[in-house]
Amino acid sequence: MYLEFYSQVYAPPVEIEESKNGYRISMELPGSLRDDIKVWAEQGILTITGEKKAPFSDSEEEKGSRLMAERVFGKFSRSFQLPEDADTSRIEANFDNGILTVEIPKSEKAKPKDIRIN
Amino acid sequence: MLNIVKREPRYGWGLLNLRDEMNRMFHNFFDEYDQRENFWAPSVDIVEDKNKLTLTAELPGVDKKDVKISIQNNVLVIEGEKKQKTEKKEDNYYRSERFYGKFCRSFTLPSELDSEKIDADYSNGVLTVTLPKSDKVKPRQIEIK
Repeated sequence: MYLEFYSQVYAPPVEIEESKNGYRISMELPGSLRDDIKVWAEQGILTITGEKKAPFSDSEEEKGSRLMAERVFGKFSRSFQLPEDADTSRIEANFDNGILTVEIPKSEKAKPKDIRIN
Repeated sequence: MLNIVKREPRYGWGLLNLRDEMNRMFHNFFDEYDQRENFWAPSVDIVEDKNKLTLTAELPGVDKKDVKISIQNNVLVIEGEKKQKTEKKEDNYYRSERFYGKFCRSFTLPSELDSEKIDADYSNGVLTVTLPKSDKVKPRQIEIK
């Protein structure tokens, strides 16, 4: 079962950045379609799942005609624990040029604030 | 230079592939460490059917303008650069698994292709190059008279 799990689910590469206003997760999903990707946040955990479908059928006949096979297809899933200052109600996701970008703003409370001395 | 060689497809990163991957890693580490720093290779699939070869390369986040495809003496070369978006100084990186920088791959093509009719398209982060076979080698039925 362990083996089966790893041969069916793969983890696309991501990049996580933090700026003053929030966090950004970008994931490489070349060839995936917007509709095949699902992003949700639950109890402080952000999950991205989906399926990268192969553009050809999986029949034996087709397999034999793949002269080079480096691309990985199939289901993918990755989860990220969000920091406490993440505002899960305002998460935005965008898919462009094979890159999924998820923007997670910091909650207003957590932002640095200058305090004026009276 | 990479010849087109028939190879079993690799689905996922199963444990069965692990030994091969480890061998490859050790082999490559000392040889190519210096070059690898600013150099990566996109994953490529080549599928053959009756009429054509279709090459697909994964280039997520690459600008179409930064990719160059050329063909000379039956060698197809795909090169370009994946640029990182303007880096802000105040940003902290927590994790970075993505590669940036220049890439270049070349493929020796079988001679029966019609190099005049090669077509390339880039969408959703995938570059697709269609290489039609010349009419001479297409299967043809011969009628018995």
